[in-house]
Amino acid sequence: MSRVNEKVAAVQGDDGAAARLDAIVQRAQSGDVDAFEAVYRAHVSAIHALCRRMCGDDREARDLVQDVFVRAWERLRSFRGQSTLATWLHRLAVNVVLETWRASKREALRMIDDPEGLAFGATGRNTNADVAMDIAAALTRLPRGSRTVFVLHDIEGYSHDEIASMTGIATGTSRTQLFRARRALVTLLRL
Amino acid sequence: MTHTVHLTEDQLQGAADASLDAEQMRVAYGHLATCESCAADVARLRTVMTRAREANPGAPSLDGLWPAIRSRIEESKVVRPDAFAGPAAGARSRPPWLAIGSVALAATLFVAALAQMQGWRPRSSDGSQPSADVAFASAADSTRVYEDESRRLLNDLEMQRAMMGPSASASLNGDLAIIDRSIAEQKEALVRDPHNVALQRLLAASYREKVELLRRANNAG
Repeated sequence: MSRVNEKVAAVQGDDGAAARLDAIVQRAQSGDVDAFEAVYRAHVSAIHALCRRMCGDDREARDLVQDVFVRAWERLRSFRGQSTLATWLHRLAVNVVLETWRASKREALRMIDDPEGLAFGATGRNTNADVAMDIAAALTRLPRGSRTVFVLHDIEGYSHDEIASMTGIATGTSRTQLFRARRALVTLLRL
Repeated sequence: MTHTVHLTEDQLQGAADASLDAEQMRVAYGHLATCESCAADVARLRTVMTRAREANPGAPSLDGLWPAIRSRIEESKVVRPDAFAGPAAGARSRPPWLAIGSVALAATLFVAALAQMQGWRPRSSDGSQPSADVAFASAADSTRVYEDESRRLLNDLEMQRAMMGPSASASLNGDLAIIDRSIAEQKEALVRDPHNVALQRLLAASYREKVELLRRANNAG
């Protein structure tokens, strides 16, 4: 087993894993890139899944995963262990995705207003309504604003207040986007 | 039972994710117990939420991402020239190991600039042109060795920085920035003239300077 794989096993294993994980994170915090690779390998699937759900595109998700882990490396020293590393990485990933979108004015406006998202459920704008989709495919059909709120609230477990704080939209808008997203998914999944 | 009045959208959604307060929940559940239409609607919303939580997007292999991430991490350890914004150089107090490094650095840069201006090519001691392929491979090997070593030393240096004074750290950053700028220019020149042995040797020399500077900094810490 390679050195990195041993570290991955330590991160993922149950037996005394917490202590070993602490040691690995401390080594990564002190600049050990091999230790950070172990952290990467243990968490990359979950972070990729989050990015993929939020952006709906695998290539964009992969770019975002890179950005997330580079940012994690830069900020790792600020991780104090009050939350689990997984929670810290998830929050960081959400921020990286939202910041990336904010960098594009067009996307920022869509995040705030997202008229498409608000109209989706009401108009039933499903161009392929006869074919039931799986949930992953259906998610990609949602407008970005609705999808983001749905992923953050119903999958990642953030509250509307937290989502409002992270995205800059009003709490009421977050709630409305969520309701519309669920309705659109009911239609797309033909439930 | 057939109802003429149904739950509102807020009540349906709130019943689905249990976000209603206790009193609202009591009212909603009272209605749902007797209204098939609303109960089915809430069930559909819950199905969406459950499927979304349980679904795994199914990631293909992500192994290919790590080399790019590692490369960006290593790059981030190299101080960019424009990142150095310390006080005026003359006003800084420089530790001796940094002063030695600066002299060596200046010499390397001078030779590099001279070579690039004159299109210098190395000659062996008897004045004949050495085998270009062998010389180039040797220089490229040296470059790789020094590059790996400088990467390792940069890792070690991260540990030392916390104990380094701000002025020493700023001076080190400045000198590293100069070397890195020189390395970047030589790499660019090599892209334009990929078989230039002299340029390859200069690149190796620049990396050697960087390694020596980093060693002195590590030892001083």
